[in-house]
Amino acid sequence: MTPRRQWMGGPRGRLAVRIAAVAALAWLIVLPMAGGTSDSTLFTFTLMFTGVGVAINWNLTGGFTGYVDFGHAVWFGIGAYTTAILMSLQSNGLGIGWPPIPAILLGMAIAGALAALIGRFTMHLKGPYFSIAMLGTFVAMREIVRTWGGLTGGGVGLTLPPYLNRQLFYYLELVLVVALIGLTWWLRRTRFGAALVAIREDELGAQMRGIATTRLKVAVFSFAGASTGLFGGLWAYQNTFVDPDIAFIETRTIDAIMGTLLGGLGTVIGPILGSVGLYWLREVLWTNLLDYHLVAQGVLLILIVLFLPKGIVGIFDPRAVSLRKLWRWGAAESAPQAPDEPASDSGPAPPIRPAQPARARPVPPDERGRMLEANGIVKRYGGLTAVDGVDIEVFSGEMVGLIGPNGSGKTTLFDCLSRVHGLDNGSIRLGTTDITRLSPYQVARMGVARTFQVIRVYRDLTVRENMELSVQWGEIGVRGLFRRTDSATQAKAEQLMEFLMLAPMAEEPAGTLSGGQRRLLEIGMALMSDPTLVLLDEATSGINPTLVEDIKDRLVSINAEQGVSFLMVEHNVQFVADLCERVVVLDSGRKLAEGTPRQVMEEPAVIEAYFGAQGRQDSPEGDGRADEAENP
Amino acid sequence: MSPVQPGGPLLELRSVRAGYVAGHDIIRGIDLEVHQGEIVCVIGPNGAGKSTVFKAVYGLVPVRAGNVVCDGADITNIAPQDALSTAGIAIVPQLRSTFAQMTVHENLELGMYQCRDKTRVRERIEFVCDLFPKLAARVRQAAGTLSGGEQRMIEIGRSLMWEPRLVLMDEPSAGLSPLVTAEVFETIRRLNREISLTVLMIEQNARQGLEASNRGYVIEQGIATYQGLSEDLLANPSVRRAFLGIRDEVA
Repeated sequence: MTPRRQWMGGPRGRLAVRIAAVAALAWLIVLPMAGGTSDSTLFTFTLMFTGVGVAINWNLTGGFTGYVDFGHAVWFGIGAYTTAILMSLQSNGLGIGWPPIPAILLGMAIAGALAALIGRFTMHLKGPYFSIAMLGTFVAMREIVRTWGGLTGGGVGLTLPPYLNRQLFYYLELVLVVALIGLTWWLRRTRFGAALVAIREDELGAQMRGIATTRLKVAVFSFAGASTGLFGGLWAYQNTFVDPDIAFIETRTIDAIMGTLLGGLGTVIGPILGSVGLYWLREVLWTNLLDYHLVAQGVLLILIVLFLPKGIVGIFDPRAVSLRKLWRWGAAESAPQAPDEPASDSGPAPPIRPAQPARARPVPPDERGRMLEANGIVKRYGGLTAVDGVDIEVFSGEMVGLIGPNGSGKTTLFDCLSRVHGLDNGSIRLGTTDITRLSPYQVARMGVARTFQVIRVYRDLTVRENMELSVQWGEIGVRGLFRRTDSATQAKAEQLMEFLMLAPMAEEPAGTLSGGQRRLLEIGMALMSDPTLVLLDEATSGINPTLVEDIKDRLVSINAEQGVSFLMVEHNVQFVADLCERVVVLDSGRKLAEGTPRQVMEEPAVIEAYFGAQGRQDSPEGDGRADEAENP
Repeated sequence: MSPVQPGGPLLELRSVRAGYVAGHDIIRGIDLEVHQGEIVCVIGPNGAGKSTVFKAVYGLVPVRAGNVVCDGADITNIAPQDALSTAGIAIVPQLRSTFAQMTVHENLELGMYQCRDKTRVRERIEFVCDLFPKLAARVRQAAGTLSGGEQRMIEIGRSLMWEPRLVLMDEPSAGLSPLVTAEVFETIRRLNREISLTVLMIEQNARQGLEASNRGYVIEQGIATYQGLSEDLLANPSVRRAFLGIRDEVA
């Protein structure tokens, strides 16, 4: 297996794949012109193109974005019925049949608009709930069409004026499918495409890194709906007849899902290979097994899912043929290569400059120099008050420690500050802006970055992709549609990976990193967005003490050079004592003490609740190190 | 299977190589032993392969070369579900592994999931509750409502359910406050004294981990580079500099 995998991923393999693709396309273009190709053959191929197109659309939400839609065929039916109603010569209340092009285009538009509307509500649901909601939408829509006889012809259906130029439809759908393939291929080379994968991997994490997830996923859902609606309209016109049971048929969704799984979920060529494969598989089985063909098909599919979990694409190295690699073929030439030698830990690394020096985004501190001001924060879970009226402020350029026993509400407070949770009471201001009601991505775009106690990295993406995806999204705007990365982002990611000793694993999927390395990656991701305030949640937990010292130095320099403020939850009291001028101690959701590290460490209540005897042993040795950290 | 060698180590790794991706070994020839009644601590930088050593013992990652020997029996590439029932090795994972919506009692029961003898399960729960009086008071409470330190106690208690001969602990102090960290290490020492528990643990909190243990190993880039008595490692200047984050000796 190994030599073939290398071959597939190598330059000759790429060439072979490209040649095969061009040859297949050329054959498809020539086919209708060759003598002896019957109209029924062309119609068969056109239906196959339809299947491929619908599978590609399904894969956009189901594969890339991770929203598995069990009712995708509803958009096909809506496109088909809109076209049929408008074009039908039967009495449909309009009295006159529309010409085909505007009818089909309107069908597409209605499918897209309905997808946007319905997606806006159903895409709040997760996993199986979303799938079932869409299945419900599908069934409901079919029954509406069946019942609304005056408009839709009810169960009898509608007949369209015949126009049976098979060749025209063949070429039209071929062009559409090729365009869709090109579009998905290109989409995944852009930042938006990478953001879709981020939504699939960890939607909340993506939101807190500034990605407007709702807007993005609904847009993709709507696009997929419109595109499938277009295929529906074309199908209705070719079929010259629609009724609820053939326009809204579950098999269309099931085929799209099976084809995509068979080919390779979340890849560009997976749905194409899978749908075509499924189609021919069915033909062969039907011809040979007649009544038992469905049984055989089911068994074969079970075997494929069991033994080829990554689909046909997975037979070859998934990294060679999958979209990720395809997408890199273009980017690889320009991306700086990871250095071969491991990062040296001696000598100061060059300071990391903001990617864009002139930024409109950062929120200025308020008139008293406060970056963050939270008043009377209250958060309850059922009967438990996790945070009970906490006031906290962070001045511009300040580093503040937040310590307290396990379960004292530190992480909940962080979740409140980064707007993951709604508050039960209290207000939060960032500079002069009230952020109490903003959503997590908006807060992230205002320059607040954070790390997480339970690590959130995008496991299927490489370290480099994780880093490059954590840019300041507020600055991306429409540019996200054109490029996946830029030289400033690349350079910055490179520098940060170097510093965090992640450079040797730059091309590894983040899921393969050790626990400590994932924490380092998270810190890197937080620093990628040029934040003005960083919330660190147990950033040093699981990190080697020597590296902790290096991180400490780096945070000091980022703080000094760029005036970035830090609020850190830490159990490493030495770390807090060395970095922070001010420490807040929480206990049972309330502020127990506040002051300089020395003051709070001597507070009897704090010693009792938090340090025990061990903490006092730790403190004297730290003073020497604190001095050293300040005078490098 | 070779016969039991009296006085031999309880767990022995002989030139073990293991990794996740074909052709890329994360641990590259580790020799390590743990004797009955010992607390052994493994320290080292991030990504050095410490957790992989545990996974290799537990059959969670394929061992490509070398042997894992437990009490004289070769358990190389044992099936993970057999590690506890057959070899008597329990594991306390790095990340929180309590079942938040199940009661403390149910969490403890899961430590003997494969045991059919209900009377014995009850006896062992009583035994664990005697060791951890704080848990005894909350046996019917959902585990998720307990503090971080108490949840760690559930995990340790659960690992003790089926009278293991050896417990592997991956960063027992991770995410715990200083007070609770001290309590966890104190508990490990107490169990070692009271029920002669043998422990192999990984710690990033290298100083406290070594202080709580008898012997230590330093693992770097998949190889054990130092080993010795914990007090010797704690005193060794290069270990202090490289792994305890103590810098004042550099200048």
